[in-house]
Amino acid sequence: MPKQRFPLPSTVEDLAAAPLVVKDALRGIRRKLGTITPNMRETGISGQTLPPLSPLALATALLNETRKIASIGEDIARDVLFRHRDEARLAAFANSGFGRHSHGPSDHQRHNFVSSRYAALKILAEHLSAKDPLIREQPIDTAYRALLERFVNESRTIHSQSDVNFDQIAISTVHLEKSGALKLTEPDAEAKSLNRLVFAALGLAESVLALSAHHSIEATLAALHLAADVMVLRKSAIGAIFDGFDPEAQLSAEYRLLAPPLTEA
Amino acid sequence: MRLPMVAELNGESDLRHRIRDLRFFEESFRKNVQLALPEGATRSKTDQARLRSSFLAWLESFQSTRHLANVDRKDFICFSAGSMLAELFRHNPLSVSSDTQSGDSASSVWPEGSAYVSYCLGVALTVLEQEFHLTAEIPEYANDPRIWQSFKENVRDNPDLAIPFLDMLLGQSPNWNEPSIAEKRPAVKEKSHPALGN
Repeated sequence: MPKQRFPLPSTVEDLAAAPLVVKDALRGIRRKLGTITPNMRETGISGQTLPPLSPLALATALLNETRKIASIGEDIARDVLFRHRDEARLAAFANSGFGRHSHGPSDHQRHNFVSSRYAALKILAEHLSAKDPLIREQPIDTAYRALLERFVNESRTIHSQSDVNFDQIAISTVHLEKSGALKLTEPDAEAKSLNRLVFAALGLAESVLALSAHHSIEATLAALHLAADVMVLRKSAIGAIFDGFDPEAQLSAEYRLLAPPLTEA
Repeated sequence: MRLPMVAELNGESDLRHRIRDLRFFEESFRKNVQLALPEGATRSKTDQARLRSSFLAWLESFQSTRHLANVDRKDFICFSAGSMLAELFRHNPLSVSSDTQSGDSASSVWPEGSAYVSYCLGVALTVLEQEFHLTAEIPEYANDPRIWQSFKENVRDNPDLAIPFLDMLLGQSPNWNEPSIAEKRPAVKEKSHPALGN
């Protein structure tokens, strides 16, 4: 049986993405360790418990220690590189998407897009009861750069609050959904459906916030939760959109329909 | 027929837009339930997912028919309120249990149905008043329990029949045959093809 390894990219396209690759690898290791039961007890044929210094007991202890180290490693990476926790990262969510702002090649914008979407995906996956999701930043970063390139000629000035680019939000949603940023452990069909709901909710929350003047962390969390709840009710429509002829155009229409009524007055 | 929310809804300066806000819809619906239920109703529960499903279904219907507001605005307001009522019946978010059933008013006969009608009628009357300074008189038969019993049976078979029922209460010409097709409403047909209406 071939060994299952965490999918590291063969090359890192630019140096700025390297920390994301390391962090994603640590997340992968942590999840892998989480799937192994560490508290197993080794028993002999006759059923008696073997002394605690048996090879299996040592391996279990080693596993526990490695898990702790991986967890600490991710915390260190997060604290050193970003100095933000998940909710704090959401502060940048509303203003870092493609719905309202013309994006120039800015590292700050890129960092905000990636880190806030990572945090938002984590919150959405939890809200939608995904079991043990693995969320990775490097695919979000890759998607961001591809979207930036696609939208570079479509930059425009935003004139009013209602002037939201739902098309770009829908395009980025579909692109992110395909990016592999979210890995779910549910059975295939269930994972596919849940994956779409998570990303559709991400785009809807972005649409709602783009129409709103309230961009606080609390308002962002409320928009994410409401978007997720509404998307669950629209599950069949969302499935049809992603399976349909032009998911980007259909999703854009869905956001035009749903975002205004969900926007806080 | 009790319409406890009309005064409160009139406090909203632009109800026709506010009602398209999910949060406002939920909040005002719940408040109407509290005020509209009879005294004997001791327990009521509003299922949030069902209430939101009603709203989302109504929103789709509203968006697909809103162009007809340019044909006859007053009729479109009545139709939209009727569509909202039909979706409430379809998704049925409210459940009420009473310890004792007393009285023969609409709310005693059918507390859930009368709460839905009371809400949508209140919204329609308020928007009509704000837009046209109209004060519609609710007909006497709105309090007749036999009418409610018949309405309950009909709407159970076809929730869209809520639309012509509300039209009757608002004094608008109903379309009982194809109630959900806005283009076939008498007022719309008359305005679209005036010669045929004569």
